[in-house]
Amino acid sequence: MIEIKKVSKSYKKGSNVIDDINFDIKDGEIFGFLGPNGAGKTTTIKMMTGILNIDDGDILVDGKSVTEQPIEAKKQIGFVSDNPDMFLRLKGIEYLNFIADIYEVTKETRDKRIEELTKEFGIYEVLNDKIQSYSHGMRQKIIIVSVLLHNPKNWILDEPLTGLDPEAAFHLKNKMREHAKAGNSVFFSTHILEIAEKMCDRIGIIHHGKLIFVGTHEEMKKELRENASLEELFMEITKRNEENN
Amino acid sequence: MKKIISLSNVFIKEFFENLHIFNKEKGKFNKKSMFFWLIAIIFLGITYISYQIITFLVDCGQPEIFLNLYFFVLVVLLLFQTILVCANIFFFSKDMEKVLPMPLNPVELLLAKFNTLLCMLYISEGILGLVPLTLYGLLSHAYFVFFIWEIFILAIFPILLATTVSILMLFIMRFARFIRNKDVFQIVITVILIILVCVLESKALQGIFRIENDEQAIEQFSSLGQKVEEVGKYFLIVNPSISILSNPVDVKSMLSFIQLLIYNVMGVSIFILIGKMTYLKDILMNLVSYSKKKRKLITIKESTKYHNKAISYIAKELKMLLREPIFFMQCIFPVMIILITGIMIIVVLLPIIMQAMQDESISNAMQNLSFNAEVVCDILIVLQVLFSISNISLTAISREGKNAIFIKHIPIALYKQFLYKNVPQIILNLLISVVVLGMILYLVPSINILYLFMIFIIATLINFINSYLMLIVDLRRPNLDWDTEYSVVKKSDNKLFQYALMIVNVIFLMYIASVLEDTNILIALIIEIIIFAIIFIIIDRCIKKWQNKLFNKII
Repeated sequence: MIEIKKVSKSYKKGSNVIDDINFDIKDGEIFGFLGPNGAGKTTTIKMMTGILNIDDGDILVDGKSVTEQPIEAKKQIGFVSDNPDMFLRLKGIEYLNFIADIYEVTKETRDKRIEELTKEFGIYEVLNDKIQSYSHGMRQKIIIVSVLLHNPKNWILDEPLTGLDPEAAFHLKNKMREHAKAGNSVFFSTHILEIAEKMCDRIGIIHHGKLIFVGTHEEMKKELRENASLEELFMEITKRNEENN
Repeated sequence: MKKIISLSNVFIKEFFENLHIFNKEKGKFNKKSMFFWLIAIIFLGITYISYQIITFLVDCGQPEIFLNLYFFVLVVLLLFQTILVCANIFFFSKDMEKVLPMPLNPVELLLAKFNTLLCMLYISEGILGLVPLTLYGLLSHAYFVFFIWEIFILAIFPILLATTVSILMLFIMRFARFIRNKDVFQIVITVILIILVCVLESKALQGIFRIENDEQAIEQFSSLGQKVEEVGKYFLIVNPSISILSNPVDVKSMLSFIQLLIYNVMGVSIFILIGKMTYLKDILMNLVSYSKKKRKLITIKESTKYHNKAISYIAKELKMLLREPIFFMQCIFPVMIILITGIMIIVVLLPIIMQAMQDESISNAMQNLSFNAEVVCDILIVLQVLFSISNISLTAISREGKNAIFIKHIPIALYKQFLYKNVPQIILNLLISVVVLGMILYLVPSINILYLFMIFIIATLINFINSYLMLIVDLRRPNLDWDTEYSVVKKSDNKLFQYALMIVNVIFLMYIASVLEDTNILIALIIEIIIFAIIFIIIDRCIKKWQNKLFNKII
């Protein structure tokens, strides 16, 4: 479970890029985080993963504060960033072994999971090659596999489906569903509203650093209008927020 | 022809821009560029040394000996530079993939690349060669025609050297396509060629230093001149050049010049002929063989191993540093070259000079060396200067680029990661300390090992302080938004902090040496250990206390 408690962040004094946002991602749910470019999605994710300091409020991962107990909190997180160009000079297997060491995955577990996951994502055969020879999609896959290695309770994924081929996207979506079904939480940001509509139990919409909606698709329909797609509702809710500002 | 000119222009402009010597926006020299200062210092140093040698030889009535020395040194320097850049320009440059799809024939591409190489050599000639030769003309009261010949000779001098090394490189690259790791191959072939030049140079110079007084110095310079003349025969262009400038008004000069032209035309023709047949084919074959390489399947059980976090992290740092050729060349290679050169000078050249000393003054001075605070200070200054050459800690964060956020989201304390990131720099500096102190032990076998061990401890503390402070500089001023690995060092001004630290440390060491001048050496060494240990502990505590603040530029 991830709890975001009255979190604010500013890069310049007096202008908050994240303004007092407050929501949680419950165990067993897939949470989609939506918003236009520059709305504050990545900033929020960076605060959740400890990359950015929080100015006000706190974020708890399974009850562990990202500010007060960063190491314990980070152990509960598996983070897939939007940039898959990681450690290009390492071989795929070296990278996975390194990540397994960092997260203290036992030899037996890592062997089993590396074999399973790399075969599932279709990168088993290239494990002995350097990551720099991988395509964008393959790099994305190895990052995803590395995150799943230590089987973290909470997944945080920044635009995870960008660059993935249909088969890998299918596997990842299945993995996300399985992970949530097993009582864990999945939080991901996306621009693809159809995916959010089909996959998410709940969604959050951020605009100009403010959380303007949190709830299910059904709740959104009730609040705005029935028989509308998520895309239409998203456009309507962001437009309304723009007018209010 | 048009294509060759415009392509050459692009390559040369790119080369200049990468050096960041000239600030286009301000229309001035970029005084923050380390290359600017390096060139300025070398230029002044060469001018001063040349002036001293020429005035000495003019006073002795034998100025023409300078020409022999000058051309020999110029050949060696230009050869070194050609070897260092040749493979990179012709085969490994980043622009190759952009250029290859263009409708160019092999000769056009080859000549454009060759022009880039020549341009680099002309710049080196301008810095290293123009002033000494002009000074020689002025101080030896040469005729005006000397200066006209000077321009012609400097213009054609590097051509044959460049073509010879390039032809050699074309042959070597025929075999390169069978080698899987091109990055390592590039470094290995450069090192082999440099060592070859060093060995030939030391062979050529063996047994010529027997200097006791001015008369003997002249004798030895003259002997060196004859030796150079002999060696010059192998370089073809050296002796005709010397002959022209020695007798610029003689009709024979014209014949020597024609001889030079013929050599160059022949060199370029052979180069074009071989290049036409092999160049493009080899580049393409290299690319194909790279992608055609057989994929080796792994067995997961055999390929994975459980390691401690620290070991795994440090191993990753080392792999990333050693496997990226640009980082290797920028951070480790200069130190290796300096250490190898230092060892060669001390092990090969110094015994020759010492053997030649009839009164054995150097050997006696070494044996009777009084070991005091001043000597310790000198050794530590040498080590401090050598520590300032490498950029490993200074770029430890910047090298990660956009991946640096990884440091923040993994479950390892930032302080620990700070320590791990310093390890490669500390290891390299330890190697420097061991080599330098080993050389001292080699030169002065009677030295007390305890003193040497204590100097090693002080050097290690200075090593830690240097590495820590440089990593702090990189953490506070990281360059994470780079597109090419070259820009990590070249577009960063952080090197200035390293120079500043070096100057501060040197002054501090000199001050300590003056304070402890009359103190017993053992007590002086203990005091120095305590001082540097306290400084180190204070820095370490501060890092631990402000670790979160230190890393807050990584976002």
